[in-house]
Parts: sequence; C-alpha cells; structure tokens
Amino acid sequence: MNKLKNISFLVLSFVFMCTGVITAQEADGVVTGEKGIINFKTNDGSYKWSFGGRAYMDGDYYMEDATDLSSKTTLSDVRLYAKASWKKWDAKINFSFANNKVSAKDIYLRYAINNHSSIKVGNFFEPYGIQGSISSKDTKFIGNSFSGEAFGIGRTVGIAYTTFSDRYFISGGLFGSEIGNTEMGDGGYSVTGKALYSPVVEDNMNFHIGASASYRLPDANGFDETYNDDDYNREVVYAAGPEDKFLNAVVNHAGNELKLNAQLLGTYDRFMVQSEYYYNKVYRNSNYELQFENSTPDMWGWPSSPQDLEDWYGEQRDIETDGFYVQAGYLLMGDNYTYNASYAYLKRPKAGSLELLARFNQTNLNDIDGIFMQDKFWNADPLKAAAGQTNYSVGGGESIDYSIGLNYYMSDNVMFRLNYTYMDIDNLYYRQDDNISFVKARIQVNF
Amino acid sequence: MTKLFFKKIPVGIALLMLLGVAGCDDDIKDLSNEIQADSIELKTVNAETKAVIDQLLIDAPDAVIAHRGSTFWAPEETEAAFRWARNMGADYLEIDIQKTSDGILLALHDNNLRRTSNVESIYPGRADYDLSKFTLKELRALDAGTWFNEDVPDNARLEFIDQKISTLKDVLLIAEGMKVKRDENRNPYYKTEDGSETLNLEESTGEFVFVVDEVDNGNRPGIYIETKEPWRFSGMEKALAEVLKSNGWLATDNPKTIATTPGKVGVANTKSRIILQTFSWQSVLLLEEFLPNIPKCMLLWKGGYDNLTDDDADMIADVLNFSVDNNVHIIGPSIAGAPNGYDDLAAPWMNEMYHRPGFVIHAYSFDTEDQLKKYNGDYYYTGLESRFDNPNRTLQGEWVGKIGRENFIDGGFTNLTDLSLEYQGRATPGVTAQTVLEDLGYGTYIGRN
Repeated sequence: MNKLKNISFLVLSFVFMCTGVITAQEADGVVTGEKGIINFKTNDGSYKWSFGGRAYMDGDYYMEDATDLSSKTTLSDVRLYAKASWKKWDAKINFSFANNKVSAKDIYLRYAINNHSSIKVGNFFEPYGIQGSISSKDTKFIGNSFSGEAFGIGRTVGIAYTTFSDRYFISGGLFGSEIGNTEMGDGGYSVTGKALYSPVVEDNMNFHIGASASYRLPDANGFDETYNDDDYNREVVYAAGPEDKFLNAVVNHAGNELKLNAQLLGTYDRFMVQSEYYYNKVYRNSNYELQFENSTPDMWGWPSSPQDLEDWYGEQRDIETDGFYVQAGYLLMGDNYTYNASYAYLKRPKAGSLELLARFNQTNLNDIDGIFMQDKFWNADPLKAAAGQTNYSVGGGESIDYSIGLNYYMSDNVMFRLNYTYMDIDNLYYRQDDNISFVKARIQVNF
Repeated sequence: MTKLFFKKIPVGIALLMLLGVAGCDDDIKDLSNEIQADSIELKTVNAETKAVIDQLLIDAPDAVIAHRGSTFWAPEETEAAFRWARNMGADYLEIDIQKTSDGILLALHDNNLRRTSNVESIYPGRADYDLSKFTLKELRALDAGTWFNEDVPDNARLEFIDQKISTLKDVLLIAEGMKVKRDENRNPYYKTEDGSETLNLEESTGEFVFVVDEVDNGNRPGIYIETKEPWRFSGMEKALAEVLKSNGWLATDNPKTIATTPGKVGVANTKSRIILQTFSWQSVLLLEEFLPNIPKCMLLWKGGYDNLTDDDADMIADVLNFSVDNNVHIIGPSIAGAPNGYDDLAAPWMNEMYHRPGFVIHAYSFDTEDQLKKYNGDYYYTGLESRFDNPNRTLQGEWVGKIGRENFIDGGFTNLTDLSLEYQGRATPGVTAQTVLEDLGYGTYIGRN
C-alpha cells in the first residue's frame, strides 16, 4: 500500500506541477477539453499537455464444471496518465492501480521523424500481432482471446522505430526486460518486428494482412549463489483464461524463444473481421549438471558419464505451441468501421454505437511425447519411464472456446460490454474439467 | 420503442455485473474423492489377466499373508519366523528379496543389515553397506535373532539367538515342510563344495543343509515375493525366475507337485503358489517379462517417487491403468493405524476403484483387531458386528458412495497370522502363537515375566 501511495503521490505531484506551469503561462496559453480529456497548450501550439484516466468495473460469473472459479465483481483496471508534447517530441506516463497494485504501463519518449515515422524509447507494447499491440480499451471483447493472452508479448523496455502509410505499417525494435522484473540474474532481450500491408484502402472498406516475429531470451528467474549462476532458471510462461488455470504452460530450462504471428483485419461498412495465428517455439537450454546438483536429494545414484544425466532427465527437446482465433463484429447501430493507419487498428466506434461480436478461438499449450503419470511426464519408452526417466514434455492444456459479445458505446467516455464464452477444456492437470462457460460484463470509463 | 430498449442496455449490463456478486456453486461437480472416483474411467484387465485373478481367488481367497514371517512373534525373515508362520497356518510367507555379491537371492527387508543383525560388531565399518556388498558366507556369520530379543523383550526367546538370514531357497524348503539341520547346540549344518555336511561355516558354501521338519503340521503355504527397485539389484527378476524354476516353484513352467494335507493350507501346490509384489513400476515391467502369468501385486505407497504421488483419485487412476496395461493382478495398498501409522490407501472409495478394473486387494500390514475390522468392513455392518462374532453379518451402513463388498479388501499382509486367522474363523482351538513357537522348539522364554 505504501508503494501505491508513493506512486499516487508522484503522479499527482506531476499533474499539479504541470498545472502550475500552465497557470503560470495562463496568459499565453489555452485550456481545452476534448472528449472529456483536459488539454493544455500554449498559444503557439508548440507545447501541449493532457491528463486522463480510465476505470474498468467488471462482473464475472462462472458456470464451472469441477474446479471452482471465483465469480466476483472487480475493478480490473484503474489508470491515470499524463501526456506532453512539444515540437517533434512527445512523452507519456501511464500507471495502473488495478487491484490495489501499482504497475507501470506506457512510459515513453517519442521523437517524430516526420508525420509517418517515429522513434520511441521507454516501456511500451512490442510491435507484435494485433491483440499484443493495442490497448485493452480498444479490444472488441473484454480482454484478448486466450491465444492472444497466452502468446501476446505486452510491454517491455526498449526502443522501436515505426513508419506507416495508408498502405503499410512497419515497426521494429530492440527490447530488454519486463519493467516488473525484480528477480536477480541477467535480464532477457528481444528483437521484435511487425509488417502490415493494406491492399484495399477505401472509404467503406479496408483490409490488411501482416506478419510479426520476435526472437527472445527470457529473463533469468533469480540468481544461484552456490553456483554463481546468473543465467538461472530461465522460463517461458504461457497462461490464459479464467484464473490462468486451464491454460498454463511453464517451459523451464528455456533458452531462446521464437514467436511468429500472422494477422488479418478487414472492414466493410459495418462489418469487421479479425484473425491471428500464433506460433511459438522455445529452444531448450541443456543444463543437466545444474539440474542434477539441485535435485541430488531426490536422486538415487551418481552419474558415471554426462550421458547419464540426459538419460535420467530426458532429452531437453524444444517446445512448440500455437493458437489462432477469428472474430467478427457488426455494428447494429452507428456508422461504418474506420481504420487508423498509425495504430494499425480500428478507431473506436462513435457514441451511440451498438456492436455485436462473435469469436472462435483455439489454443494449444500441449507439446507432449512422454507418458503422463502422477502429474509428471516420463520417458515415452515405458521401460525407461518405469526406471524413473523423466521427460520434458509440457502439458499446459488445450482449449477451444466460442464467444459472443455486445458493446454499447454510450458516449465517447463510457461504454458497456457484455461477453459470453463457452470453453472446451483438455488439460491433464484438470482431468475433471471438461468445459466451462462464463459471462463477463464491464462498464468502461475513459476520460 | 427501439430507443427505449437501447437506453436500458446499460442498466441491464450493470445488473448482469451483479451476477458476479451472487456467485453460485450449485452447478459444480463435487471434487471430493469419494464422489470423483465414481466418474473416473478405468481400464479393465484383459482375459488372460482375469484368468490368473480368478484362479487366485480359488487358490487363496481371504489370503492371510505372513509379513516377513512375522515381525511380532519372531525375528523377521529368519527360519524361526517362517516356520512359525507355516505352522500357524498362513496362506503365504512374505519375503523381500535381495542379492548377495555372489548372486544368491536372500530374504531381507532393509537396505542394510544394521537393524536386524550384529553386522556392526562382526564387520566393523561395513554396517551401512548394501547387502550386495557381502557374500552368502559372510552373511551367514551374522546373528539375525538377538536384536529381536532386545527390541521386542516381551517376545524374547533363547532359541532366537543366532538365527540366520534366510535365502529364497531356504524359504521355499520351509514352505515344503523342511527345516535347517542343526546339532544339539542348535548350530546349523552347511553344505560343502563336495556335497558333504559341516558345522564349520568357513569350510562350507554357506548353504544350509535341510531336513524334514518333524514338527511340521502339514501346512504348505505359498511364497509372496517382493522385488526392490531394479537399479539396486540388476537382473533380479531374471534370477528370480531361474531360482523358482530350478526349485520347481514356477507354476507356469513344469512345477513340481508338493504334497498337501486335506484341511491344511495347500497354496504351495496351486497355480498361485508364488505371488510377486513390488512398489517399482520398472520391476512390474521386468516381472512381466520374465515371469508372465504369475500373479503380480502392485504395492502402493503415498509419496513414492515412482509409485503414488498423492492419494487423490486421478493419481490412483494413473497407477491402476498402468497396472492394467502391464498385467498386474493385485493391488497392495497401505493401511492406517498403529503401530506403523502408514497412509490410508485402502479407504472404501479407493478399494472400489481397485476392484473396478478387476484387481484383487491385498492390503498391508495388519497388527490390530481394529484394522482387521475396519478394512474388512465390520464398521459398515448392522450393529457393528464383527466377522470375529458373525461371519454372516448383513452388510449395512451409511457412506457417501454405494456400500458393498467391493469397498473392502480381499486379503492382507499381517504380522500376527494368529489374529488374522482368528478373525476369519480359521484358528485351530487350543493353538496359539505361543504354543506353536514351543512346538517348533522356540520354547525358552527369556522375556519379561
């Protein structure tokens, strides 16, 4: 809570400080309001500040199969932000206070090379896919698809270059650790890029296809003082869905990760369709010796050759996961969908719009070639398995889910969302759960 | 009208949000193991396995398995314990087999000799060595009986002093009604290389000379053999098959006829004369390879690295399906209660799961009346009637699942064969554990009076 108070104080101080600056320059500046957001700018327009926030008030109701899930109301997100721009520069500071925890969101400085290209440095979305690159306030459903949730990247600290026109969008950058990573050990890095092409650009119709790729090294998960190992236990986690239970893959002994994404987005009058395919491959990093040292109390012998360790623990083979979704929307009320080329996504429908949505999503976090017994994977050869040889399979679960949704954009600042999802589950660790369904509702306020 | 409808949408969504406040558990499956177990699909044993099980239920129904001969009345896994169990009337003599450095299969439970022998004084510095670090002759020099007199003073007897570790062959011969040939001072005779007999261990092969047991009462029990994890004794399963075959005890390969007496235990002359048991998945596979169609028991131990991680229904289902796949015939769960305090892996819902694929249940290890009553279902019968009192008691009781014979065990490992037989109404009037010991020549009580 102290952390929350401190950060809140900092943000408020920043706001008041800026206000003080504006007050001091009031004679030479103007205050405007647009769509509920307060803007300050100098008369010559060379300096601008704006402040805003958002709140998501959610209700979740689960119809479970076996494992209990928590139906409840939450304030799933509360944000405050400040933006400033001057000449070719702009900056943003955005913090979330959801669930009484402070987390940094967009915090960046950007330089506009020209009207269609810029360089950004700070903490922001890596340019990867659709759902991994847009704000949650703009997603059609409440939250991303489970595939997007599991395989999206989110924000990291880095530097990126972006250029776009109405026909193309290209963005790429170099990134480091997640800003929330406080573990000891060496941080990871990633090279991520996205390229889109729009063969159809018309007033009532737009269509783009594109691809993204990211080559990554995950953060180390601590530091092993005994072995002076700052490369300790890197892992990749894919998790999605209700409470991250039924889709949850932890790929340990991770080396590098390759992520690929293909996307399409199309609009035609009041109709839109959006789809993404995700493919992920984690390259395992053999460190049998360290693993052996850490598990010696459980072992029954001593290796007589390096091969023994691989025989005992199994081949640290690479892990592949994938998923895709396709979703469609239709504006029952309101104007046509419009496309924002600089954002590579759709603009928010105007106030008074009513949007009907449907989505199909398949997510596969299973990569299994061993025998599963006693909540562990064993060698695929029964004799070796019975001898205690383990296996590096990953059984994160597989799901197919169907969703429908309704969005009502009451004003530019307030919208109401209602989602229903039916989820078919196949997870070895939750064998009694075959399917669940749930209703989610959200009141979303932006200002 | 349309306008009014859409104006109401926010109100409707706000109301739906409140559903989250309501929450509701009514539609959730009950995840308690008793209920969950019912809905878990299990594989079923194949016809070949079923035939072995059916034969076992004919040969040894209600099996009383003398755990290490006895751990209560005599020093475990010695001649004294096995002779006592045989004459007492156990259906099976239970042993753990290990292998000496010269390849002899021996009956010993612990991983080393420290607890059950005087190895510390005979072989200083080697007390924690694995059995495979000793030859048979070295092991025969140990006193495997005195420790018992010290540990269980209430049952101490002079004749237990200098009891010896037993080989698998010794146990087979005792089951056939033999005993070790001894001189008037109870010193054993050993075989020499040239086939003669000697009292001098050093001059011998270490192998005992056996003679007909003059006080044998005609019981011919089977042998219930536990193999350890194969990494401890490589090639054990193959060696076991060879020893059983060479001694005529392998029911599937030209077994010898062992004379039995009507009214006495006669398991030794049936197809179920040998039962194999192990906690090790790997050993199950090897036993199936080298000893197919010999009854096999998958022992269960909660927390075992390669056994049963936890006592929930999914974990149990894993082991049962593995057991079906590998032609296991018997499930051997641990039971709760003094003196061992093991985990209860023979609860009614678990027993129902074990029975569902077609397995027989032999639980371990019984030491008290309460355990016998509990796991045989006495507490689910009218008026808490015990089989001690009324073998024909009527099944009745309250339980979350269906109650029936399938919820209880089919046989058990016991340290008190006398008590288990009494429970089953198979005790011989006037014959007690003590009288059997006295008849066998272990009559000099030196315990507390």
